[in-house]
Amino acid sequence: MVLPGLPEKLPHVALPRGVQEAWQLKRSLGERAVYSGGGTLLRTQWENQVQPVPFQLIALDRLKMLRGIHVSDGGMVEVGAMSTLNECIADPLLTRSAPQLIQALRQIAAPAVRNLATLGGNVCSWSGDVLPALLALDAEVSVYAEGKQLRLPLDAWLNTSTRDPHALLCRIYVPPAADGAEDGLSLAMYAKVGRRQAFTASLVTVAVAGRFTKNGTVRGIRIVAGGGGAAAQRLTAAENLLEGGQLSKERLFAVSDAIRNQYQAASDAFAGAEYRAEAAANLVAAHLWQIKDFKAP
Amino acid sequence: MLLDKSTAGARWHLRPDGMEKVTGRLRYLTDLKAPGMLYGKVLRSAMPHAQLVSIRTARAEALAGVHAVLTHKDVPGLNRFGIVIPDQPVLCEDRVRYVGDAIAAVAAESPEIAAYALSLIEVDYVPLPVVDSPDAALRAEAPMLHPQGNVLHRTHYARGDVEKAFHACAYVVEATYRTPRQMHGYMETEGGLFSWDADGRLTVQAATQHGYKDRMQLSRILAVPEERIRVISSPIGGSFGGKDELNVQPYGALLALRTGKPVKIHHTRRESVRAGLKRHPMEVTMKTGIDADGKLVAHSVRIIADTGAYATLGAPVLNFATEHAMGPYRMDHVLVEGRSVFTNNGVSGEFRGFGGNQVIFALESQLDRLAAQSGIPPWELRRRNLRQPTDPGPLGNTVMPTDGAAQVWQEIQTSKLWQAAESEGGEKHVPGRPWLRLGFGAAMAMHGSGLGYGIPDPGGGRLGLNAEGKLEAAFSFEEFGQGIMATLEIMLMELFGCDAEDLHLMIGDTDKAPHSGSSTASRSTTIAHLTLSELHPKLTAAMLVAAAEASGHDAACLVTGRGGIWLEDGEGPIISYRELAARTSGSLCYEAAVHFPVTPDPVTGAHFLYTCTAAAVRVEVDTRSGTVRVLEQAHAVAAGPVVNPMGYIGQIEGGASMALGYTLMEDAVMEEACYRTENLDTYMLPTIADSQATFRIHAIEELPPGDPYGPRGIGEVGSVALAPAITAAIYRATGRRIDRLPVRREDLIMRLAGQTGGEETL
Ligand SMILES: Cc1cc2nc3c(=O)[nH]c(=O)nc-3n(C[C@H](O)[C@H](O)[C@H](O)COP(=O)(O)OP(=O)(O)OC[C@H]3O[C@@H](n4cnc5c(N)ncnc54)[C@H](O)[C@@H]3O)c2cc1C
Repeated sequence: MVLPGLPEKLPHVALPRGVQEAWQLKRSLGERAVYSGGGTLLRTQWENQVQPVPFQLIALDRLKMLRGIHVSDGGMVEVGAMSTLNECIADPLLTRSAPQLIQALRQIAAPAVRNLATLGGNVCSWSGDVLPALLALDAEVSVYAEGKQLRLPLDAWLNTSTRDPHALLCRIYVPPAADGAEDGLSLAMYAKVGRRQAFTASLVTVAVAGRFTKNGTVRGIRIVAGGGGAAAQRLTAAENLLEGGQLSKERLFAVSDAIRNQYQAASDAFAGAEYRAEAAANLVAAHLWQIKDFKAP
Repeated sequence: MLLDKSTAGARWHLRPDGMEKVTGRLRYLTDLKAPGMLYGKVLRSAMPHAQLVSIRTARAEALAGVHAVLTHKDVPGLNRFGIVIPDQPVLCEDRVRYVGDAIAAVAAESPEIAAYALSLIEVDYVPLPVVDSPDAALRAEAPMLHPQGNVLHRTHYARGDVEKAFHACAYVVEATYRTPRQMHGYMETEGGLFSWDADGRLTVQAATQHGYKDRMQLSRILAVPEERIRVISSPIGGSFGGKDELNVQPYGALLALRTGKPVKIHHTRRESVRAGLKRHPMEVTMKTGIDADGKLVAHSVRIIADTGAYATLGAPVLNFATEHAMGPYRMDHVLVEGRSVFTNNGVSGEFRGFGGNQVIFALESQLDRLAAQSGIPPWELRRRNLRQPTDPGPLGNTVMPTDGAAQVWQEIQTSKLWQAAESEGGEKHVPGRPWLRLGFGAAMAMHGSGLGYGIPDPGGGRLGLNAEGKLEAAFSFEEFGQGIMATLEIMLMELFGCDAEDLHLMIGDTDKAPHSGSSTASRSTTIAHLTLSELHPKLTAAMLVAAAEASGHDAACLVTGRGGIWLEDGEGPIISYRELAARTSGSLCYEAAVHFPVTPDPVTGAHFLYTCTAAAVRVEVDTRSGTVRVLEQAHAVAAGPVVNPMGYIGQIEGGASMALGYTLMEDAVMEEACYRTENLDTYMLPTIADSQATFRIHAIEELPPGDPYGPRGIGEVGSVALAPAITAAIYRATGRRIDRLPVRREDLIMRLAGQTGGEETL
């Protein structure tokens, strides 16, 4: 509806049926068009006047390719970008293979928002709370960009400087949980600190993945921190201290120091960067300290 | 008595407005619509402090769908409002003093057109230096925000000689406490529907806590006699003090007057944050000394309140803070000096607790500090200083005797929570998680009800048998969630021995209910009790006489009961209320005017009736992130007989949730006098996940013999003592003193290395 006397403030809505069509529309309109998943973030951005209401919304609702959750080749669980957060939470495959991802999702917003908000929208907000969990899991994505379908690690996609600004995220691939029986303990965890117990934007989020083998060494460790406006970051210095090594108190304290030094946290009126880095370090170190076998002599 | 559903028994009374509220069927005043209605919006200042050079409305007026654009030139009467001192412009003429100041008002055919029209109004500002703190306002070079300067109000109270007395103290502590700009955060934002009828009468249907006061203020602004204004002010989706002052009413009334059509205004949350009142942030510096036995000797207090751009109730709030800075304690040497200071930081005003919350946090923290210094256990230190039942009030004023302080002190000490904490010896660890710290803390307070000496505090009501045969009670109170409907219903059912169906309650309408005064200051229950104590015998006597005439029975053998008048030991009514109404044809109707009980001593602001409360909590501090969770709460409240158990619990739980938010997260952050928390995504209110603590309420009903004033209001007292209980528990858990609310995670986070919990060291 366009009101008499009002400028055309409300966007036009396109409902493309194919990913190519969606991408071409976006590319042809450039900044005048915006993809919309659940639209939950977009609305707050418009209201807070951090993004203008665009001329054209490209609603992704009719793209079949962006729907559904199932097991794909190699045992990965693939999730359509338009799956809502609540659909993901309710999905038995995801619950089994990526409990820390479910934990991350459960702490985003509130039930009504999670019914609308999509996994793709959370990833493409570049600071969504789900990103540390997906990065720790070494998730992959398929995107439609530069006129073709690509598949690549999420980490690589987030960090390429030559990323197509019109890229359409299609599917997210979550690697299967390593088989618990085979080799020691899983180091998987996810934690979020906000300004209250629920329904809060994050101050700090951390995710860890990897294994603590039967012979007492750390394997395949991945540590990621994010939260607030900060981009999710692999904490490589801490990972390097741990990978292939044993867990000791001294090493843990060194890991804490490394996290505090490396993590480029956000800062705002509600919490400073130093605090956030300290909290990230504490959450990771406390988690590792709790690994049962570590405490046994 | 532990107050809950089981101990309340038959008195557990479902509130009459409950079903409609929980099902969402209730129509609040902001849900109302009228045929041909227009939508109003108000242009608020783009700057916190500026001169207005020109306001051009032509483009907005030319927009299709716009019916009126008003500026200060269109205010027929007094272009000011304010409950005590009318100093706030309805529409600013030449200067704006905060980002909520109103410059123009628009009525249009849709809210979107109205909003767009606002964007077409051109305002030229010349920015003035922004006064963004009381400190800045008190500097010599600060711009004057009002002709009388930047101090709205000063208080000074002294007895004894504090300076000399400090020398005689064995222990003295001094600290400065800072409290946040809390927002009321009601679910229903400000708004209403305004219409003028053909006879030139205005009907205002908009939330307030004092319909008659709004009528008076509107009459001044509109230059229309009060009798030509009807204010319907109930039901309301929450207020907590925030809607006591005028908010959208002047704009709705003026736009409806200009356009001749009904006008609806309803603030968005953003508009509400920007224009609405907040709790006064205060900086409270206290120096307090005890002798070697732990007796309080000297107490000096300096209060600086940020009252924002306009007066509203800033002065009475400071009076209240001044009075409550001594708590329920005896002390010989006292000096309290307060200043309420104008700034460009929004407008601070009335808020549940009314200035008590800030100083009680400071005072109770002082006692904990003194306890730590002297080695006297904190609760024992309080006991040694408690006031005695017939002691004068905090300002030396005569008060109604109360033993509440000792009663709540005792009740909390024997509570389950206290006993459990005691048996653990104050220290408890969570095995395997040495970063978790658990702590226990308690605090207490005394809280005055009524408006206090010097402010007229009249009330009253009407009681009769109406033409339909219902016992009709009329009060001008508002229902804003506190449960006044249920409380009135219970009072009347108990007085008449009747059923709820025999009653008709009428509230919140200046055409239909006589002046009961404001629904504020924990006063409504007392006013209702006093009014009904006067009217009930009159109506009963008249009804019994009429029933005696009709039935031939002796009036002395008759009583009121369910459905009508009964023989004392009869099996059913001998004459129904309906028949009685037909015989008396509506002639049985009585009005009473009462005054809220007030201290006889001429001490401005001092109270006569006080309630007491104590709160104890157990908290968990997660030092990995500095996050605090309240695990258990116990509240003891001495407020006389419990009229309405469910309402009582609701008020204490609700007040405590508000205090929990105040302590742990709520703050309307401002930078250079602009809100950084413009919506509920950044202004954090506690959710149910934050309030999961076990919650027990101990109600002390006993009053000193011969007390004629009955049940005391409990609308505020649940919110005043929790903050210092939580910070005391945090101190026990972590050894860190909290002097600033809300508690910051930064202050409680600890590096993991070296932390010890029980057997385990990290
Ligand atoms: C009240 C509230 C609370 C919130 N709390 C949280 C929280 O706790 N944690 C959190 O992380 N977020 C939170 N959010 C933000 C947001 O809801 C989530 O990030 C959500 O997952 C976004 O999904 P969406 O589908 O609604 O995204 P949209 O708003 O539709 O889109 C978000 C961005 O991603 C782009 N986009 C969407 N889909 C695609 C795609 N397939 N390919 C390419 N680009 C795409 C859009 O163009 C836009 O820039 C909250 C939002 C609200 C309103």
